[in-house]
Amino acid sequence: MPDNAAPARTQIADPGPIASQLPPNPPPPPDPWLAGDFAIQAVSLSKRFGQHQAVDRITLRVPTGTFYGLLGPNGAGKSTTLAMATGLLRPDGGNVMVNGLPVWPDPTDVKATIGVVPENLLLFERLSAREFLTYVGRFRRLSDDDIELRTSDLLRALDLESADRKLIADYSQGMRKKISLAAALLHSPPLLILDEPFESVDPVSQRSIRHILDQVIARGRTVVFSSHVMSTVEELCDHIAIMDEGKIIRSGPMGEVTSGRRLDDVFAQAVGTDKVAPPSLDWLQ
Amino acid sequence: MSDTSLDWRRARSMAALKFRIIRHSPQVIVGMLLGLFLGGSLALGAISTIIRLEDHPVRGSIIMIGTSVLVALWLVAPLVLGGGELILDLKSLALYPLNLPTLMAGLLLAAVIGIPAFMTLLVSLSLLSHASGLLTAVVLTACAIQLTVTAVLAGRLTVAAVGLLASTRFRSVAGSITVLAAISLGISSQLIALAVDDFDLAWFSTVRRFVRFLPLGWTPEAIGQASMGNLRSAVFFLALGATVPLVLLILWRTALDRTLDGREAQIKTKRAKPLVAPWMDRMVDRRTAAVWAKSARAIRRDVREWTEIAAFLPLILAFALPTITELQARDARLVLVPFLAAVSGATMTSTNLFGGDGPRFTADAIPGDDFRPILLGKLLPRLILVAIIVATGAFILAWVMRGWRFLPVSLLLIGQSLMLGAAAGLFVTIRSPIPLPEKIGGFNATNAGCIAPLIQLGALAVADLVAIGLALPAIGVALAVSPWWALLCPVVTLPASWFLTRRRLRTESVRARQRIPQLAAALARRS
Repeated sequence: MPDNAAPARTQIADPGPIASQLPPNPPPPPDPWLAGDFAIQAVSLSKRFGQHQAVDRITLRVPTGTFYGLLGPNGAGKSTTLAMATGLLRPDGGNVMVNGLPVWPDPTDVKATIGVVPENLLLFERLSAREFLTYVGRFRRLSDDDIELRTSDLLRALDLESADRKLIADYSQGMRKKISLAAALLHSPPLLILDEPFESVDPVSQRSIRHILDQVIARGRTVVFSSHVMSTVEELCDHIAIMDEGKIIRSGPMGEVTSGRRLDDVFAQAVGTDKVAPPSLDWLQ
Repeated sequence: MSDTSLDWRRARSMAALKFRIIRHSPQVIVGMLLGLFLGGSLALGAISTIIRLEDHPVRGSIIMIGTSVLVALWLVAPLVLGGGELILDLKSLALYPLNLPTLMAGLLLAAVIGIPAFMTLLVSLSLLSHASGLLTAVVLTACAIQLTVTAVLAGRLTVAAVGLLASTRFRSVAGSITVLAAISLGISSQLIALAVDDFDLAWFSTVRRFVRFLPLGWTPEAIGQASMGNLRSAVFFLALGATVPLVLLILWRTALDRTLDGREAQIKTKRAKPLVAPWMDRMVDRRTAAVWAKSARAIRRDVREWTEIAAFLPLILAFALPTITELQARDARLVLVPFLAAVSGATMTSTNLFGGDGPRFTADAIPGDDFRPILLGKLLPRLILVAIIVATGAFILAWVMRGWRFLPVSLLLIGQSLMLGAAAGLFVTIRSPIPLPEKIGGFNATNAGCIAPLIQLGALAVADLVAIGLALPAIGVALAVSPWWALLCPVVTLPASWFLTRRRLRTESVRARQRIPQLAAALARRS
């Protein structure tokens, strides 16, 4: 069974040389992977660490083809939710389907249909960017020609071409995020899941990542990312969910959730102003 | 339904990935070359021993114990080295659609293509020199392959278990224990000389009787039996031993599965411990306990601290331990000697109280005006370390020399000598802080003006003289009257040592307070 396609499904239409060379706003191509209504469907998903309920029976539906932002303060459960959806963390309860496939008990098939940029990136530091992408391509069963072509395209698109022989260990945080994104895009997945992709990234790198993501969305793919940077989410996303203390407290299309207000205000109200306003620290005097 | 079939192409890619990563890791390459040299020497030694043992009457037992040790090394080595999972990090591989059989095959392939596995197979196959016929050769070949597979799987299981059991913390603790054991063995290495004289080869047969009841000893037992020509027993143990790799495989698979789906994170969370252990808070005041905990953590995590302590070891040995000739005389009175190792060890490790965390020294120094908690907190983990090493040495000496009656007074002398060594170390660490090289291999020009070897050696000499002076009454009574009556002497000398050390602590803490700028400047020079 070829592995860069989902099992029992036809192989995804190759978008060709990666995003940078795409025409502006092309019509979404017909794609059997994208036929379902939801890229992610989680029902009653729960996770507990010791005494801490990290995710508390959440229900999350990410419509296919959307740019979906998962918002929440630190420790809200965003990363845990995404880890469970990407097959990196087994939930204690509930179900999660990704691209129409159940993630658990065996997430191998789902992993073939998604691209992930995890919070801690999980790169092989002692490889150059080109070597890293080559091995990722092999693990994803791409042909050598495809690996070569896509690697060159991605490195060019992400402005990493001049550093392609440098070890990832020597990369800046922005470059590391970009190479992680390249690895997630290499097999042209219908769903990209990014955990804090803009965290610690300089504005220039942010710009190139945004540019790529815009083009991914333009191709009818789904992008889900977690963040606590309101301006980025407001600018990029058409759907959002706000998490706090392991629960989803608001979700839906951006316009519905914000109702014309600023996202900052909606977020502050949703998570409770007492958590946003710091205590007075009188003892400092 | 998920595809659970084994994908050899991707398994091969994993093995290739390992070697590609190694190509870019000079430290790993140096380690491998070192491993090749050491492993090669050991393998050559083992092979020549095996060949020489061809007609030896107890060759079966010797080979059995030797091969059991080989498997045990595979099981234990990853606790200290821990390199395998760092090269092919399972967490990183978990992002890709690699099913468990493919992952296991890839990791196994990466482990098999390596120096240790090659050496193991080579040593095992050298047993063919004992084959008396074709059938024995076949059985011995099967044994050799089974032994290699068992050893590699044991190593993989340990690597996975280390990853499962809170990798870094567990490995650092396991590594510390192993290094401690190695240092203790280093101290007692001279005892090996005793074995040369009258080593009892029957010892192997005795140990073998126990080891063959352990699952990891079954394949070695098969090898031992085959080398003696007992084919029926060899085949029996070979069949029994075949179950071991299967069990290891199942355990390994379970450990990998738990790591891949993040269940190991829950174990880590449950095992989180407070930064300062409650028992430390009960023993000393809160500030001292905080410095103690921080210092112990720095020592445990900073490889430079270990290399420094290891570098002092020959000096401790040179000053303090009996000679081989004395050991061979099996004189029970030698059990009284390790107090010299205690004073030397305490002095040498305390002369560098700001070694590992020198750059952070000012952070410790500024918050309070009393330096005693800082100095005491930094002293305690070092003294505990030296105490463990020296007490282990004393016990080994008592055991070998049959001198148990001298051990109680020896332990008291060790206690008072530790205090005196600490006092001498305090003097040096504040008068002239000893720099620790940032990289292994050099006391270089940047350390000029900071290092004070003469003061250090002078302090060591003074501490040794004072320790000898205070120990003499107890030693005299132990030799002339009875070791039990000698226990009364430390009633006077222990408080005297306590008083001297306490006074030194007070003096040096006052001096440290006055010298913060000079100390900070001296310590900053090396970084």
